[in-house]
Amino acid sequence: MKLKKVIALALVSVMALSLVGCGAKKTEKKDTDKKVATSGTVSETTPMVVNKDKKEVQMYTTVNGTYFTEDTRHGIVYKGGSNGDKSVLKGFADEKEFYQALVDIGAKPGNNLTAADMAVKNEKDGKSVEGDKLDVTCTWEGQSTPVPFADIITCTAKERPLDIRFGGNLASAKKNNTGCVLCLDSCATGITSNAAWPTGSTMGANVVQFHGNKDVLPKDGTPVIVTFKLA
Amino acid sequence: MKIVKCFYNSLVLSLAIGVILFNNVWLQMRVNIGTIFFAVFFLLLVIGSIFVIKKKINLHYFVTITITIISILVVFMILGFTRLQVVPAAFIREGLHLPSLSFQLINYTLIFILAALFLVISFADIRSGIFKK
Repeated sequence: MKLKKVIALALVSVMALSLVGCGAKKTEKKDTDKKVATSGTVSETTPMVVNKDKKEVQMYTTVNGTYFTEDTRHGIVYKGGSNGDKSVLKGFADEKEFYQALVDIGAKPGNNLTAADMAVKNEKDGKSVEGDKLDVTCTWEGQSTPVPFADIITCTAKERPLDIRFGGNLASAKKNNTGCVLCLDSCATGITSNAAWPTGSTMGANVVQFHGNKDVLPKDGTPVIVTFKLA
Repeated sequence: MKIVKCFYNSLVLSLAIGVILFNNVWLQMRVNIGTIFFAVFFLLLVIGSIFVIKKKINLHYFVTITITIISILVVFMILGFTRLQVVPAAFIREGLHLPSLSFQLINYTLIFILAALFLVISFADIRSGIFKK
């Protein structure tokens, strides 16, 4: 009888551990994630293409259908970052390399925000991100005409025109490793963020939350190419 | 059958807890809710199994029914039908670190597992004459 109990407990433990074991994060693709090209087509294996002549950076991303219905403040996050599963689009290129790519096309970072700016509880106390303005557009299979990034995002408050700036924040990005490429309100860690909403708009003052626009974006998991162009 | 009951109830409870936690935006933005879901499931399963085997608790059929109904009600009240098709699948695939899994596949698998377990438990309890007592 005792043996039966031990076997039953062992089986239970193995079943449960096998489920947890599935959670081991895969890291073998790290090398391919870092590929950056200066010409050609952006793809899963070449997730970022930097075109200095056109002053544009293209990034390979996929749609995360979770945020068609759930609240987020993350537009694009590198999948290897700690916030890799928390954004409307999952980026395949490292955010630190993205920073360098923007510098390479001649964009100047704002670097005007600090962690203290993120802790404000009132929207009026928040600061807007500075830095060069970027035009951000998206294309995907069956949608060759570029769609403005603003069109793939909806928000819970009165809409404000999207104003994406090269915030910079490289030191904070290196320190926190969140993977944040594009934040939907002004951010002290995201490489780019939206100056239309000051810091604290989402997490502190909680005056707005964002979603992916399911009426515009393709279905969950579909590749989307995002183009950042110096305005 | 005691372990099957424990497995089912642990799964239902951990899904409900996962939904409650995921609904908190502050937490959802900072924590992998999927990892918490699997950790809670593992803990409930192991602790519950020990208690059931040592006969400290008795997972009567009506306990299973009550846990199921309350969990379904709580989850529906929090999420509604549209979000219900997304949230559990979203934190399960986040916990598994398998972002390419489709919501539909996870949902169908989950429904199949839960329905099969519930039917097995119900059939076994009915056969054991639980409603005659």
